[in-house]
Amino acid sequence: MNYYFMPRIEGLKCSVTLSNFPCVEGERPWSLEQVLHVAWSDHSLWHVRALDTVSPGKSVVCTCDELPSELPNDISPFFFFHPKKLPSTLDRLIISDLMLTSPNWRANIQLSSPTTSASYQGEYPGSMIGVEKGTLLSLGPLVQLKAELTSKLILVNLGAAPGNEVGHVRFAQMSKQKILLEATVRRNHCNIIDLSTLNCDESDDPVCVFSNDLTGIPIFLTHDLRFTKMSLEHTHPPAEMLVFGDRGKFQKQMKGWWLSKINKYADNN
Amino acid sequence: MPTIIKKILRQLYDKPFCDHLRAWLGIRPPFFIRPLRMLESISDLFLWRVDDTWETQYELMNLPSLLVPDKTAIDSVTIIIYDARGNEISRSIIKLNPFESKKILIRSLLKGVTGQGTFGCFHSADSMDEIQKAGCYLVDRQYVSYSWKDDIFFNYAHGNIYGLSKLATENKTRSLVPMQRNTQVYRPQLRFDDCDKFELIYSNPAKEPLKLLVRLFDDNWNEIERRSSIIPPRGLEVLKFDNSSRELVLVENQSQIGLCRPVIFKFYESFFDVLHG
Repeated sequence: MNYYFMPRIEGLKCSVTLSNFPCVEGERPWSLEQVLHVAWSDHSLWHVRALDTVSPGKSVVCTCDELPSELPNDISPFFFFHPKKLPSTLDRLIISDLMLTSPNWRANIQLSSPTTSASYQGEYPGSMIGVEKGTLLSLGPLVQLKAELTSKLILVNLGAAPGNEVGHVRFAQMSKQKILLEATVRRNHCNIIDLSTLNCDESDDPVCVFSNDLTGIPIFLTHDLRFTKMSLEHTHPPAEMLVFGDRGKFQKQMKGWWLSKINKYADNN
Repeated sequence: MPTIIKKILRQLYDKPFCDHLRAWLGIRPPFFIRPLRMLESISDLFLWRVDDTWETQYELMNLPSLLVPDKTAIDSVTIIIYDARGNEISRSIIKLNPFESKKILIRSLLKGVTGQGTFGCFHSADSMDEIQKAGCYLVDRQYVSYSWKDDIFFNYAHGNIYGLSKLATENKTRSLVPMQRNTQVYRPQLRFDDCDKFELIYSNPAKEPLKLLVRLFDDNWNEIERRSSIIPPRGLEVLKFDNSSRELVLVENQSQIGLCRPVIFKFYESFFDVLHG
């Protein structure tokens, strides 16, 4: 069972389109009616609200204007389907194989300005919400550091246990062996980190993101000042640079090397 | 007991050779077949579009050094570019220092050709035997970005489908995508009624021509339009749709390959969105 997130960014309207049909035939039947839920976490509980019932084959668009009024402004909502209406609080989010498909059951997460939109076709995989702590390593070149442009990192973290504990992320350039920025982030949240203050040029040394404290999906949003142009894309986990074989073991070794290196740079800096 | 037998059988047939045999015999071929030689490097089949309107840039990274960082290796990357009919336009070798990345403007590799097509990036470095030891293959599925010509703003999308493999010492590339006996249906889980114009771009990573049927529906899955085409190997097809009526809501495609996912361009008042379906 996958979860779908909604980043809340000032100046933009966010919507999540959830489809009650699988992307490939034969993996799951179309016949199941689903209840669309939204959930958010306080420090000890998940609050859950049923929003709609979605018939097989239908898709529904949830916008930031239609969120429950009791959802605090500084907490991120997460959406999911379940065949039954769930109670209004949960001790833990549900982990199940419901709607498990290959490729994953996705939603369209869209950010819109008055004149354009950018979207991310994805999900927070159910397999990741069982990870209690985890680490993060993003080796991608998606930050656009040019005059008149702003880049933001949307770091999405979700775990089955409720709570809003704080963790840290570091931004670094590997060839320069330099930490550029440290930021605090929260669990069970779409964290928005403004990268305008990154003190580096757009060289052949990409900005990488690391965390010893939590895992998550790193998504980069770049836009001009009036949001007339936007780009939204995630970076792959390191294992995506490999295919077949024991990718997980390889990723673990590789992450260990990079995180120990970045910790050394931080100590030196 | 059947589970134990299945497990034993799986260990026996879970080999690259068996992938090829299944594909050749047409007996439940996998969606992607493992190259027979472990040192072959794999690339997604990426889309480029370059003309008076479009510019395409690729973020080339020294992937072997990121994966095996304690063996700081120089990466020799072969970029092969094909036109929309799948004909090779150019082949360039670019060397990257450890941890280096380079922004490659695809226009600079096209020898004056414009339009659209596909490309692949194949890496080679001394450290790749470490990857081989884990039974893995290195795959480039990094980030392509598109912009209006002469603009500074690039819109990113990552690679979407494993396509080709290549051994550093050989010129030949091989397809990883076998034809399936049964028709494969794919439905992007998104809506198209938020824009007046959109494009669906399909590439063919298989070694044979790909018959494609694309059907477009309203919100109740009533068919409004259909398009069919035959895409040559390594080529692509750009399907353009006028949706000013906002009648086209859902899309389905049928082909003989697994995970035939389009690259989607949606056009809005001031800019465009690019994403994978």
